[in-house]
Order: sequence, then structure tokens, then C-alpha cells
Amino acid sequence: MERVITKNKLKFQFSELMKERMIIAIRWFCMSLFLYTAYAKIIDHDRFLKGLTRVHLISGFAVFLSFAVPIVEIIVVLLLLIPRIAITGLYCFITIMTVFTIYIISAMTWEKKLPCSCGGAIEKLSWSQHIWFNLTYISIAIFALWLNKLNTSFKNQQNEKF
Amino acid sequence: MKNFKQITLGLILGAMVIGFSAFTNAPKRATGDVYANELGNGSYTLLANPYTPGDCASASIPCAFEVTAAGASHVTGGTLSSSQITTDLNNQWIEQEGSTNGVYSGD
Repeated sequence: MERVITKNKLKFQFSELMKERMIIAIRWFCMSLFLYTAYAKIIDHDRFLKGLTRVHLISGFAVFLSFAVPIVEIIVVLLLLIPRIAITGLYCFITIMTVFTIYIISAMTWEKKLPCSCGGAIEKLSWSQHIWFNLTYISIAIFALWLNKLNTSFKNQQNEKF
Repeated sequence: MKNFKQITLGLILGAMVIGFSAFTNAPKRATGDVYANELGNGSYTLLANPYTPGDCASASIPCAFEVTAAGASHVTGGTLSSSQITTDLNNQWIEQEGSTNGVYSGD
């Protein structure tokens, strides 16, 4: 990582290799989260379904959601795994995590007692910790997209030069 | 070739995540699971649907117990006997759901 001063502007620059590696690491980090939670929801599907039925906000769609959520998570894992479509995967990841976060905030507002059926060790987080956890993942994924954008514009500049 | 390497490493990581997940996802009860007095004999059965206090009637023992956060990794099984209820209450693994007594007629 280098620090470059240009026209009173201080900015950090990463080497292209570093950017690429960071994007890969973030993709795998996001992929691991969804794979872990999807697996937990599938192997203990009954408990996940019961948890959803207890939230009045979504109890009407509980059966549908109990299948849809892990399936969507696995699709995003596959998108993140394949390099050619990984950026689409990151966009999907951010969208889904944002939806989950909005759901948590609205459920916290409307429900007195909330069961967490998020899967695995993540269930041990409190609801506010859960929101921060989600926001951290969303920020990291946005950072990866930003790095990718920098990478792309750098490559375009190089192509223009030669 | 570079993409193939990335996918292979991703798959290895995925296998590791699932392996790790198997350790942390052993079947257990979730915080907030409710056991209700459906049989009227002092044993309590796990409810599949949301608990409705209005479905409790005509008994002097608690209608339902709820699994606490501390009890989530200890309380197991679909039915709790009266002795298990006493133990779980002493350990604060369950708590009475509301203050309603009775036999539960919901599902």
C-alpha cells in the first residue's frame, strides 16, 4: 500500500494485485457467511420454520420464506464463487443483507419477543449486535465494489495510454 | 486457469465452512420455543405453532413454559416431563410464559 499526495489531496493507493486479492478475500468472506447460515437453515429446517411462524410480521409467508431464504443464499454463494459473475454476486449480497437488516429493524419495532432463526452461532448475537454485524458485512461488500471500480478505471486508463 | 484456481479454492473454503457449521449447528431448541400443557398430566409438549394464551383453560398448573436464552443449548426433546420442568426451572433454562394457568387446547 502506498500513500500518494496529489495537488493537496491525500489518498491511499493499493497495487492492482493487492486490490484483486482484497476483492477475492471479501467475496470469500461473504460467501462463507451465506453458506454457513444456509446450511444451518437447511439441516434444522423445522426450527427455522417455527422461528419464522412466531414473527407475526411474516408468519403468513413462513413456509415460503423457510425454503426461499436458504435457496437465495445458496444462489448468491454460487454467484460469489464464480469469478466472471462475482460482482453481480456482491450486488445481490448487499441487497439481501440490506433486506435482512430492514426486516430486523421493523421486527424490533413491531414484535415484543423476537426469536432469531438466523442459523448457527449468529443466533447468539443480540438484535442490536445483529444489526451492526449486518452493517459491517454490507460495508465490506461495498468496499469490494469500490475497489473493483478503481481496478476497472485503472485498466481503462492503461488501455487509453497504449 | 486463474479462474479455475479461484473456484477450486472457493470450494475448499466452502467445504471447511460446512464442516465448521456442523459443529455449531447440532439440533437444539431456540430461545423462545414454547412447551405447553396439552396433555393435562404435568408434562409439556413443544408447540409447532405460535402460542395463544386464550387457548388455556381449566387447570391450576402453568399453561406453558418458554425456553430462555440460557436454556437454548440445554433444553432438548419434544416433551418435558414434570421432573424435567422442575430441573429446567431451577436452572432458569425455561420460564413460565405469561401467568396463565390451564390445559392448552391450541396446536
